[in-house]
Order: sequence, then structure tokens, then C-alpha cells
Amino acid sequence: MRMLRSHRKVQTISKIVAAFLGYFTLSILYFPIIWLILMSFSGEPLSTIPGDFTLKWYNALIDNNSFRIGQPVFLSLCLAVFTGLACAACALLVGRVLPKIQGGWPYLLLFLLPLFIPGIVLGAGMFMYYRLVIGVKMGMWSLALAHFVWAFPFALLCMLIVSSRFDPRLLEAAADLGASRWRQFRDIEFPLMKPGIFAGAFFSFLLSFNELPRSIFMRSGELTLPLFLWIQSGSHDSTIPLIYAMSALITVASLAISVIAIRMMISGD
Amino acid sequence: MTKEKSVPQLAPSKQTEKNGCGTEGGKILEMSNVTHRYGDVVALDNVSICAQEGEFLTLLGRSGSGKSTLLRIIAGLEEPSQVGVLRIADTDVTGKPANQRDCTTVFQHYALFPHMTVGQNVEYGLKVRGVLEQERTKRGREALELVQLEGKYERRIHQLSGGERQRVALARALVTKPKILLLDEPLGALDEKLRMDMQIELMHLHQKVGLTFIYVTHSQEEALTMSDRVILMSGGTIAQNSSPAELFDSPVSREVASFMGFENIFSGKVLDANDNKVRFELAGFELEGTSNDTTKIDVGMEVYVGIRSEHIRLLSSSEAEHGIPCEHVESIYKGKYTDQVLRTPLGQIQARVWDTTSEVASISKVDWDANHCVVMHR
Repeated sequence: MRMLRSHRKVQTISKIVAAFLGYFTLSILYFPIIWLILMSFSGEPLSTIPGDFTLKWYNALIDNNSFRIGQPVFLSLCLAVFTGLACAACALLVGRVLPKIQGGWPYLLLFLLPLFIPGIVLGAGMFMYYRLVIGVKMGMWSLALAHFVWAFPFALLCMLIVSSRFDPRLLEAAADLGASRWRQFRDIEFPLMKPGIFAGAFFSFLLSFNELPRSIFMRSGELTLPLFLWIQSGSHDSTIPLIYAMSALITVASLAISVIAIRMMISGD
Repeated sequence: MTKEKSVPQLAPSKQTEKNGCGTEGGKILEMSNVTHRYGDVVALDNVSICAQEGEFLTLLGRSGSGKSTLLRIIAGLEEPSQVGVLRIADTDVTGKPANQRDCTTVFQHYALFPHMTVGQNVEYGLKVRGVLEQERTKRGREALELVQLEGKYERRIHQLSGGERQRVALARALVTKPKILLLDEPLGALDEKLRMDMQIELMHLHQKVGLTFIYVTHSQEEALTMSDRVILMSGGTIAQNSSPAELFDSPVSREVASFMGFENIFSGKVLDANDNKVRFELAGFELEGTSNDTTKIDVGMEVYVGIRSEHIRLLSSSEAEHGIPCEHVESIYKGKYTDQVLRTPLGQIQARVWDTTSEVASISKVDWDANHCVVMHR
């Protein structure tokens, strides 16, 4: 009886510890984000205390002519759309075949390994190889290339979650009922792979939109939004409060897109 | 065991040649000299089969006997290594992909499309054929009615039970009115009660639609219950091709006999053979058995003889002036009956006793009727 009670006590304590650690981790993850958003509405963002809430920084973001954000936003959006589409298309083509290859996991590893190389290192490496060896002109297309290389493994992972669950026998059944190869793809394979394709596209979009370390090397004269914000926050300018507003907007948009992407992937069945 | 089957009007009488390839018309499937290899493994070894229009043909065999491979080759899902003739409804389909053959398959794993409703699943075959929506819906609902799922048209697949999924797969395969319906162990995933009900339902369905059914199973019970004709496959070849009753009562080889559940198989030596009667010698006893084809059985030949356990008669000492002496080893209770294991000079014999009150202690001899003792080639 006593043994049982002490056992139960240990269980309760371990539950409390787990709960505490969980909430602690969540708090250090989300407090900076909440704080940033809070400060973006504050009259004096550079002070440490939020208050005197106002929308003036958001208005300034649109009105201020010295804070030339339009160009970087446009470039980043273009790059992100390109990366999203290219990654989703390539991930679909590779991801639908990869699970069918027997003993294909070494290929999978090869595709995913670049994820674990530091961005700065990869950026420097890509700069040296593409610029100096291959002779690619640095600029928008080199940025697109770097973003594609960065985002593709993630898109492939999204795709594999769906394609590895796909039952190829469904295609046999469709063929048996009279469907041509194209109809099999259009009616059966594509609809069932759609969550993976969309999730891959969304994640690639976000990864490209927020990418900094590789862009530093591949940018030449171009300025993406993260580069712009980084440069602005390094300067001792009166525009710094605008960065809070801008960052808050990006954060909210990114979170929204992530939630959509994750929900799409989960609702696969 | 008596069988009564009502065969659709279209079907010709079953007095075709042994392989089902009669010379007259009405052949819906003609397949000759099919060989298939997976790497070095020969899955099918020069097999030829035919099916008559409206026939319920069963391919029976253990897993790995080649029966499913044969079905996949008919469907076009597998390209055979070698093939002589492959014709469906007088159309040469050699080398044609599955989507251009006029036959559909009911898969063991159902293979229903999870992103479509029941109705969409059933109508898929019509959709790819370009049938207009109104006509499609009408025929889809009819097909669902045929399998008694009228109310489930709008349902999603994951809302259905195993038995219902089976019926949807059946409706989906029937809706295009194929020349041949292929069924690949369709009842394998169902529980026993449902399997029994579905057997009867499939028989009725077959009579109603009048299509040729080619049915693959490893269950002799399913084969015997439903089929007009059974082809027993073994090691990639045809072991026996006959009516269910003939397969059950007169197996042609030891292998077929043991698959069909002959518990007692011995090897003997022929003394005399004529008129379907064979006299043979077995462990010093002179016994009599039957054979459907005594022309191939010569005097002095080594043969196998098989007797089902339910045909073994147990004799008490008082009534036994003939028969084989035996000694009781053990009783195995099986509910409806009891199996008695007996030691005899021939070896162990298993006898089935339906009357559980019978006294085992008094058993001293066994015997059987000559027409229940099947003589088979070695």
C-alpha cells in the first residue's frame, strides 16, 4: 500500500515537472514575438516599456518615403512565389518516385543532408562554386537558385509524408477500370498528393521569403526584404521603429501561412 | 454431396473438354501456353485455360501456386514472360494494357479511392469512358442497388464497414458491364459469418447478371460452394480442372487429394483394374477402390489410394469378420464431430464420428466402401 502511494507521488511530481517545462519552453518561444508585436503598437518602441498604444508606425510604413520598402517586398514576393512553385513541382516529381525505389533511403539522405549545413557556409560555398567556377551572374536568378536549394529538401519532406502513404494499388484499380496513365495521375494520384504539394509550396514560399544568410552572398546589388530589414536595423536611423511594425506584419503573415500549410498536410485523408 | 446449379441461359452445357476449351463457340476467355517468371522464380509454367460465357470459374490453390498471377495476367496488370494466345471475347489482348481490356477486378484489399464518395467510386469506370453524368448516376445507383447498398451513395469510404466496402468494390467492377469479372480473394478480409453470407450472395449475383466470373481463392469451401468449374493450381501448373463434385470426390493425384482434405492416403500396388474398379494390395491386405480413368492404370503399378475420414467405418469385435484390425490411439473432440485416431497395419488412420456417444473401447476393425476409396496415379 505504501509502495503504491509513493509510486503515485512520483508520477504526480513528474507530471508537474513536465507541465512546467512545457509551458516554460512555450513562453520563451512566444514571448519575444508577442513583445515585438506589442512594441510595434507602442508610441516609444525603443523604450523598454510598452504603452501609449498607437497605429502611427503602421501609417508611417505606408507613407514614409525615406523608408523604401516597396522594392524589397516586391523582390522577396517574386522570389518566394518562384521558389514555392519550383520546389512544389520538383518535389512532386521526385517525391512520387522516391518511395517506389527499393533501398532508396540513401537518396533520401542525400536530398536532406544540406538541411544540416549552416546557411552561411552553404551561401559562401554556393557563391564560390556558381559565381567563380560555373560563372553564374549574381543577382535575382542567383538568389532564386539559392532559395530553391534551401527550400527544396523541406518541400520534398512535405511531399514524402503524403507520397509514402500513397497506395500504388489504387492506380492498378484505376487502370483496371479503364483509366489511362494520365487519368490515373489526374483523378487518383494528384488529388491524394495535393496536401503534400500545397504544404510544400507554402513552406518553400516562407523559407524563401525569410531567407537571409545565403542571400547575403548571392545578392550582388539586389535587396530582399530580410536583407533590407537587417541593414536598416544596423543603421542608427529614425526608421527603426518602422522595423517593429514591418516585422510584426511578417510574423503574423508567416504564422498564418504555416497554420494553413500544416492543416492541409494533416487533413490528408 | 449433391450440387445443384442454375446456369444462365447463355452458358452452353458443361460437357466441354477437360480444360474447358470446347471446340464450339461461347468462349469468353482463351489463354494458352502462358509462362511467367519473377526473376528466376517460375510463377506460371506453360498454363492454358479457357472460360465459357456465363461460367463461374474458380482458380483454387495455396499461396504461391500462381493463381493470383494468372488473374493479374488476364486483367493486364502483369505482363507474362511468354504467352501463346490471350483472347477476351474473341479480341486479342496480348500486350494490351489493363485499361484497354474488357474485364474488371475486385481486389482483396478493395482498392477503393479514399478521396471519392461511394457513388463516385462506383461511377469511376463510367466517367473515364465518357458516360454523361445523368446516365452515370442512374447506372451507379443501379449497381449499388444490385449489392444492396442503395442508401450509401453519398457516403465516404472511411464511413463504411469491411463488408460494405467489399460490396462497393463489387458494384464498381460490375457497373461497366465487363465481359469478365475477376475476383481476387474478395472475401479474404471478412469475418467468417460475413464470408458465408457473401458466398451465397455472390452466387445469386452471378445468376442475376449472367457475367463470366473468374474467382481466385485458397479456400476449398468457397470453391466448392460457388463454382461451376474449379481449376486447382499448384506450383505454377494446373493440378486438376473439373467440376466441384469431381474435384471433391475424385482427386487425380496425391497432391490434390491432400489439398482437398483426404486425411488417409496410402500407397498400394495394383492387382487388377477394369471398369472403374481397381483391386490393389496394401500392407498385405487385398482391397478395392475406384478410379475415373482405369485406362492409365496397369497391373503391378504403384498407386496412391485415399479415403476421407468420414468414410472410414468403425467395427466392433462382434460384427467384424472382415476389415483391417486397429487399435485406438486418441479422440480429438471438434464440436460437431469427434476425430478418432487409430493405429493399423497400414499406418495411422483417422476416422470421423458424428455420433459422440459411440463407444470407442470396442472398436477392433475398420473398413470402407470401395466407391469411397479413390485410386490415384503416382
